[in-house]
This record gives sequence, structure tokens and C-alpha cells, in this order.
Amino acid sequence: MKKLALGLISVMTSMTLLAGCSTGSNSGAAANSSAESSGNGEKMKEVVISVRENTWGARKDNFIEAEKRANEELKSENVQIKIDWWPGIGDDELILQAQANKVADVFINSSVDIGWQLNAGLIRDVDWVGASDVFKNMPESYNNMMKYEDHYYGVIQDMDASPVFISRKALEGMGWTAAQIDELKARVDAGSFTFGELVDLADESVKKKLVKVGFGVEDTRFEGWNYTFDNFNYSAEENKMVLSKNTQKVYEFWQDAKQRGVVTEGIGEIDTDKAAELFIKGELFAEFARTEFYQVMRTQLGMDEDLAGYEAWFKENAIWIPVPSVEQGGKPVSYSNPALIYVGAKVDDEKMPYVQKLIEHVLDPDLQINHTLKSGKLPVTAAAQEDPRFQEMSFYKDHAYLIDFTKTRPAQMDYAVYMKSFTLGIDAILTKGQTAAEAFELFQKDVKQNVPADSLIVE
Amino acid sequence: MTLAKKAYKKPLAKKMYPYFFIMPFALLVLVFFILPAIATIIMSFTDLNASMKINFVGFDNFKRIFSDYSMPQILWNTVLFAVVTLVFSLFFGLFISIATQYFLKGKLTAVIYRVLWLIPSIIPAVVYVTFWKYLFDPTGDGLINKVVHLFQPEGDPVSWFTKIAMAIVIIATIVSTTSGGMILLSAAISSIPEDLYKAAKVDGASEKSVITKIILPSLKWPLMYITISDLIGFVSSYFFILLLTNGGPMRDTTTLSLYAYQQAFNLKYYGYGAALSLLVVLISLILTLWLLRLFDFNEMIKPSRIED
Repeated sequence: MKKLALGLISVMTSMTLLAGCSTGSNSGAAANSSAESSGNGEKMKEVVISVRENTWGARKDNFIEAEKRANEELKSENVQIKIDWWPGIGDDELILQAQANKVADVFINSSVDIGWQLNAGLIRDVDWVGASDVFKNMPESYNNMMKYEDHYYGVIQDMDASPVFISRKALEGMGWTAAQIDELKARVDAGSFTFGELVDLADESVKKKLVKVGFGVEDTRFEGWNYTFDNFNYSAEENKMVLSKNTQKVYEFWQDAKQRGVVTEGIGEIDTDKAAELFIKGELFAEFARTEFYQVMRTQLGMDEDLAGYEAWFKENAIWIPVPSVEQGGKPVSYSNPALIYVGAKVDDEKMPYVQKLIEHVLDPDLQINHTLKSGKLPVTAAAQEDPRFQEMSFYKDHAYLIDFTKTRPAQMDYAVYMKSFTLGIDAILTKGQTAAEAFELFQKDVKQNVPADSLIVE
Repeated sequence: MTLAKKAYKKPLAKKMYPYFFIMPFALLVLVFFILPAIATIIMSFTDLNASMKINFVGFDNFKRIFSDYSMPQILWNTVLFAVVTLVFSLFFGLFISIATQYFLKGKLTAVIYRVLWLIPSIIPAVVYVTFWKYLFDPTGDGLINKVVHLFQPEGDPVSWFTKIAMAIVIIATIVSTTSGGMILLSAAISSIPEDLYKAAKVDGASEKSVITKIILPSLKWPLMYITISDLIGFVSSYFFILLLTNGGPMRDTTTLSLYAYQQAFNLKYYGYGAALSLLVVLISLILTLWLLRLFDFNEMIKPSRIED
């Protein structure tokens, strides 16, 4: 019995030591090294590329298909790529993996993450993007998203736009004719319908009890309305956040919207799913969302397999417009949170061509459209946007033009802290009845305390 | 003679037995508690952030805690949350255990009642929080808003999480944590010899006297344990608050431990987050020592003066 107990203890001790001391290097080493393997009697060089991503949309499927296509091309060079798949994780785990010396060769994250990932030594440059045929004729805004400190550090994977979904029934209830409703988008594009007019319509629809809620907004950091008021808060030249008095204008909008009942104090609690539910029931006048909202409503209506039926429902119940400019004659606004494919810092120049080939194939037009179909995100290359399947998707296709003036969140390291201060001001207006000036004062105090001085320009 | 004088020497293998038993767990404690604690202390003296570059900044993080304008509110939230939750969960635990283990002892209703109270603590936290979110949903679909709508059909749905966020957080935590105390106290009450109750009845003692003179004095140990462990738990835990309100609206439900979490993991200011978490540890330590003194711990662990 004693021997058995001692044996068990020895096993437990060994396991504990192994668990505590092991670097878990088996998969990591494999992921970062090249190995020789044989295929069809010939010696083939195998390049293992670790890819860390989840199965959202068609991302994983696209990498697997890209591996096959790249390997077809690489046969002549006697080389084969092998993906070592790591499950997708959050930023905290990404940092911990980096600390354990286990950064994946390829991973996807938001464009906003370039700054801290570069500072933390997680990523390396991908300057081949500038010369790659895949990314030719890309809008300048895309290049800006992928660049940081004059180098390319990410490869744009997908994109979205930020339309406003408006209840057609509510507009009809206010006496709008079908022609007036259908030409609204053109008026926004031309700058003859402003953001203020949209607020007035929401106000009227609530007061006339046509809907229960005026505005809903998907992004609870409310960044889109910042851009609407041209309050970008970031200096790309100095890579610093900007504490600007412009913010007070945004707070003035919030104060006014709150007082008129256009936004409710619990607006941050109404997530996309709940907003879709309200919209479908006709209880929400306008939802400021991204293109994915179209797909969310389709799923909630149970019409995933019935595109024609959903399009008919959408036509009858909703319209979409870009976010109108606040000024007459101004351009509409769109914002996005694009995903970039990053290359891990450990990928050396020898391995990079294979990583490049894999990523370029992930962006093959048909694979991008597969991802659009599954995720509701927009394709990013011109070739993909010309794909016949994309051309058939009228809703997404019609959004493509917004990309030219779409803004994205800055890749500044302290951006999240800055935005926390910003939303604190909004909370003060919504829940404490503070004025725009008081909210701005609070915002200033919080930013000055929490954003490091060397990351901030105070105007 | 010399043989008799020679003291018995334990074989080495036997001497080692206790250490073999202790070693795996000691290693676990070392790897998962002591080393992270040391790392946290070191981190609190650095400005470590997402860039993962370590610069020692001395006591800067601790100075920042004292100059942080939101700290008074956060400390107040922590006190409010911990004290109110503790008092109510302790009271409910005591009340339920006396009711079910003394007044309804052995009855099926007592078992059912205890099981009902156990449900919130055995449900996964995420599911539990989802229920509370549904209950206080700010739209007309929330259960409370539906009830309100029955009485005020013309009224707008109430945004409960912006109006009474702290109350919701406290109630949700009380309902979930009461059962822990209830189990311990019930066990303690059931261990009171029946003879004592019978003797009290023979002496004509009232129910109130039985509770105050027999039951409550025998609960001093479990009450001390529950008070200390729950209070430390409430000061240092943030999970429910994170899931329910994420500290909002504004910082109305941000407690010190949640603030430490947000600084470290949301904003990636690991150095400042570590300093804040050390403050949580310090507060917990002080509270524990104070409660041990309050419950007269030394007196409780003294050997009994009653001789056999």
C-alpha cells in the first residue's frame, strides 16, 4: 500500500513538475521551423506556418483552402506549406503567448492593434504588400490602415461600412412618400440631408409614438458619432491622441438627443441582437450599425436560407443610408473596424515568401466572397468586388463606395484609455443629467489623469 | 545497557513520508500562488504596459493611487458592496439555517427550501448573470419592465442598470452567496446535542432563549469563518460586477478589485493594476486581522478549561 502511495506521489510530482516547467515547445518549435519530409518518393521541403485564428466567418476555411492552392504552386519548387492551427484567442492571451516565446507566424487582429503589438515585439513588417499584385489599385484609406510609421505591418483581411438602418414604416407614418424615402440615400450622398435632420426625424417619430426608441447604436464606444462631428481625436503625424474642444460639440449632441428622448439612458445596454429585435418589431427608428446588422436581422427572421424573402422584407420595412454629414453639402461618414492579418516577429526573411504566398491566397477573390457570405463583411480587393457573386449581393455591393471615405480607429497604444474617458463623459450626460460642458470637463480631467502625457496633445 | 540507552532512530524513508505527501501540493502552491504573488509585487514597481518593456518606477504607481481622483468613489463602492452584501448574506444564511434546521428540522419543506437557495450558487456565473440581465433588461422585454408595464401601460421602460446598478449587483451577489453560509451554519446547528434543546424545554425556555442562549453561541466559529471568508471574497471579487455592469454606469459599481482588473487587462497598464491589486490584498489582510480580534480568536482556540 505504501509502495502504491509512493508511486502515485512520484507520478503526481513528475506531472506537476512537467506542467510547471515545460515550455510546451513541441508545437511551437514545429510551428517555427522547417522540416524535411518525403512525398511521392521525392524529398519535399515542408514549411510549417502556425496560424492563430478562430473559425468566425470563413477565416479558417479560407486559410485551409489557401494552403492547398499555395501548395499546388509550390510543387514545382519542391516545397510544401503545412499550417499548424492554433485556436484564436484574446489580446491578453496573445501577450502571454508572446511572453512564453510562442507568437504565431500568422494571426488576425483589429487594425487598432498595430501600435501596441509592434511595441510589444509581436509583429514584423510586411512591406511586400506595397508591391504585391493582389493589393494593386487599393484605395489610399486601405494603405493607411495597413501602415504604421511608414511601414506595412498588417494585411487587410476584411472590411465593413457603417450604414444607418431606418424604419421605413416610421417614415411612412410621418407622411413620407415612397419616392421621398427612396431618394433619401442620394440626398445624404449629396450632402443635402444632414445629421441634424435625422435627429429631428427620430425625435418626431418618438413623439408621434411611431417607435419606442429613436436611435440605437451598435458600437458602445460611440466612435462613429465622433467621426460624424469630425472629431477624430488623433494626430497621425505625431502618433498621439488629441484632447480637442471638438469633443464638446459631440457632447452637445448627446445632451440634446437625451433631452429630446432620441437616445435613452440605457442605450449602451441595447446590444446588436436586441437592437435587431427592436428594429424587426418596428420599435426602433434608426440603428447605427455596421453592414453585419443586415445579416443579424436576416438570421433573427429565420431567413438565412431565403434571400429573396429577406430582401422583400427588408425593402418593405427598412432603408439604409450612410451616416449624414452634420453640415449641408458635406460628405457622408462611415467607419469600420477592419481585421488585419499580422505576421509574427519570429518569421524570418527565408520563411516570409511562403507566408506571403499563403496570405495572398487567403485574399483570392472567391475566398473573400465566401467570407462575405458567412460574415457579412465586405471584400477588400477590387478583384473580389468584381466577383459575380458579390455583384449579386445588392446590399453589400451598394456599400462598396463608402470604403473610400471610411475612417478607422487609430492604432495608438493609449486609444482604449482615451475612449474610456470619452464614454465616461457620455455616461455623465445620460445617467447623471450633466450638461455637455460638465461632461467635457470630466472627460478632460480623466484623460489628463489616465492617458500618459507623452501620448497626448492638449489643444 | 548501551543498547537500552541508544535512542530509536526513525528510518530516513519514514522521515521523508510527510514531505512526499506535501511536496506536490507545495509545488502547486509555489507555482500558482507564491511565484505569481512575487511577480505581482515586482510588477507594481514597474510601468509595465502592453509594450512589455519593464522600467522600474519606484513607488510611482502607489503615489498614483493616492492622486487618482476616482479613488474615493471606488473605495466607497468597495465598502458599500462588501459590507452590505456581507451583512445581508450573513443574516439570510443565519435566518434560513435556524428556520430549516431548528424550526422545520427533519421536514421535507426545509430540504426543499435549502435546495432552492442552493440553486443560484450551483448555476454557472454566466448563466446566472444572463438571468439578471433579462430581469432588469432596459427595454420593454425585461421581466421587471413587463411587470411595471402592467401597472403603467403608458410609461417608458426603465433603464434599471443605469438607475440602481449597485443595488442590482448587491442583490445578485447576496442571492448567489447566501447558500454557502447557510450550509455551514446548518451543519453547525445540526451538531448541537438534542439534549440541550430538551433540557431548555424542561426548564421552560422560550424559543427566543433557545436561539440566543444555545444556538447563537455555538455558531461563533462558523460565523467567524463565514464573515472573514465572505468579506475577503467580496473585497477581492469582481466577476459578477464585471459581467453585470462592467463597473458602470460611469464608475458607480466599480470596486477596487474590478478597477485593478480593468487597469491591468482592459487598458493594459499592468504596473498600475498590480499596485492596485496589492492594495486589495493589504485591505483584506487588515480586515482579516481586525475580524479575528473582533471574534476573540485567541480565546476561541485556547484549550478548554473544563476538565474530564
